[in-house]
Amino acid sequence: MAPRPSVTGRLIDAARQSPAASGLPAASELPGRVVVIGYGNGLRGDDAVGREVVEALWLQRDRLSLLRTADFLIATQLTPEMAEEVASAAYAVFVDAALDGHPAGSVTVRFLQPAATPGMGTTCFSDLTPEGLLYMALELYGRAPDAALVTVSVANCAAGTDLSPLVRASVPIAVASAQMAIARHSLGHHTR
Amino acid sequence: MNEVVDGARREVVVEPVTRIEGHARITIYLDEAGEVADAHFHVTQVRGFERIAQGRPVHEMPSLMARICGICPVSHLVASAKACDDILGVAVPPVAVRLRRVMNLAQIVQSHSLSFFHLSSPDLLLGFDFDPARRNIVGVAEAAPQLARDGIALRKFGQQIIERLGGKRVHPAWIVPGGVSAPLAPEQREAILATVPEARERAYGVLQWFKHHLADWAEEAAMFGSFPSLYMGLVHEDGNAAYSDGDLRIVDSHGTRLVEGGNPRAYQEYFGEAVEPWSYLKSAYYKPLGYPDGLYRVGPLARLNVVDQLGTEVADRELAEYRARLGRYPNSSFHYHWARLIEIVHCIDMVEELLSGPDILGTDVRARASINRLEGVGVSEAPRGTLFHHYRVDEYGIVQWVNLIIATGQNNLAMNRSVAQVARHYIHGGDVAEGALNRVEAVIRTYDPCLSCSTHAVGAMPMEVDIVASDGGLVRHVSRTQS
Repeated sequence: MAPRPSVTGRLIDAARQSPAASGLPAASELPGRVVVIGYGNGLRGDDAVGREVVEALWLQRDRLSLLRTADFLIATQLTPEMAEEVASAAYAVFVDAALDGHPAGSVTVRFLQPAATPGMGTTCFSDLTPEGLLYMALELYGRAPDAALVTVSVANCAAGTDLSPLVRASVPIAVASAQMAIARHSLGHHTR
Repeated sequence: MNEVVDGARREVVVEPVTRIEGHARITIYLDEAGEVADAHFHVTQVRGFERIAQGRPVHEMPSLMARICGICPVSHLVASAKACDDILGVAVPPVAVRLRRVMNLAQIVQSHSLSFFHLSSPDLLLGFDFDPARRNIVGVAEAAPQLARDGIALRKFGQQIIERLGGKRVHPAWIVPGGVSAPLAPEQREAILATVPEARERAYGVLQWFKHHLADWAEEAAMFGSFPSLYMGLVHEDGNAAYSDGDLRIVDSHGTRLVEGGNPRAYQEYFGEAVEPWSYLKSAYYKPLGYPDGLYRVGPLARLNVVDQLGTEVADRELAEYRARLGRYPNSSFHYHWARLIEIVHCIDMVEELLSGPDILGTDVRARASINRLEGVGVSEAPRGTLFHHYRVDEYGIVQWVNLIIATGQNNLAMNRSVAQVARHYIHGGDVAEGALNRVEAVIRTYDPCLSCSTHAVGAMPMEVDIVASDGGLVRHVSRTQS
């Protein structure tokens, strides 16, 4: 049996293109679709690590069967418009930088549940969290996928287009962590 | 929200002024009886694009100027390209003129949707006194998911048109000096037209919802920047609304036309700009009346006041009802909301009308020329109001001087007066309820200020409110910290 041709595999820069304009399928059209969202400011040093991780994942999409039903979205920040895309996915992986006090380059994976943080959405959405986006997906479109957040601890978010060396070195680890999260989901081992 | 009591002085901190674009602060001054004596709306950051642009080749200006704002870059593209057209001395091909209009209309739809649904609907739907922790778009999603879905869909409608025309949603480089860089592809036209019916239905439905609930906000409508003023906007010769072209019209609250057929290139005859030490945001004023008496408003409320009609059937029917219920020249800034929703309906219909034209797929979309003038002015309607770009160049086309007059600056005097009006109505004896402070913020939101544009300031908007006693002591400081 010939493999089903992939209609996913797109890398979408949210500043350039909306996912819906690209003809991405609804979940009912493509069961098992994964959406990977890397976000951060590409002009603020380590804050861009989530974008870089997702670009690296996208480059591996043809080599890894896990990624064949994935779409890849990079953005400066999460916005309410992403709720529809998230709702139509079977699994969502968010990748972000974290100023969490851990040594720069530390990679953490956390499984998410929809949750609205009090006060969220009051500062023109710069405070929209992955949990909040899942919550909006659930409220607006009736479903929120299983989801994980991969964070890379960072140290330098000053103006600049380069990652610091420790954070740069952690990109492959974060890529592997995202792949493992997707693999756990595909095997039914996702834990909320 | 934090409150600090320090002896006789009470400090309330609100930071930021939420659900607007940019950084700002409000100071409310109390008299000896604790009543509001005055109020200032401060804009606290500056980026200085007028200086940054000096030394750049004029052909770079549209793309450079678009970076002023991520919400309304298309309006800056249009105004900047028109200033460059003026310097090149070219007549832009008619197809390109119409294509520029389509993109600008699409941007107005997406920006108005952001303003109404994402930023203001929490107050309107949930109430100005509702729990501030849930008075946001997430709360709207819980209470009225259809309203939230409509907002998301309408914003996406506008963004997708911009993307289909310009290749990307934010900062497209498609509008260039002399026209546009590429003609419209037939499949893109069909794809856009296919999205119009759903967008129209959503926009019309929300407009009906708003009208149905108008009485719920009667007090705010009476107190939110309700005072006579001048109004300014671009109007076509036939009296229709003009968003990318047209001439200047200025009317007062009685409909007297102070300027009719005003040439945008002569804007300096009409407008002056004043600077106050407490804000980076300049205050534009109507020069014949001087500063600050020359207060005027721009944007949706003003546009609906200056036009004879909008120019599309459904929108004009809605405009007639708007005028029947509010009077021919509504004076309350609360009605920016209603005007904004009518404009969304109108802009959607205009997109369809323009794209259905027989020659919209024409390929003559750009005129090319060298420098033929050393000075140029471009004007367009941005979502928030009229936008002027004015450049001077040397004989090689290197920019020597830039002046930008942004909608939010033109509304600055009105916003300050509105804040004072709301504060006087809701704050007494130094007693400041959260709902009162929210109304002080909400009246600013009616104008949908974009402080990134108007001061060229970066990012989201932390805002603070200071309440200052007659002896200069800080009574209360309200602050919301940007995340």
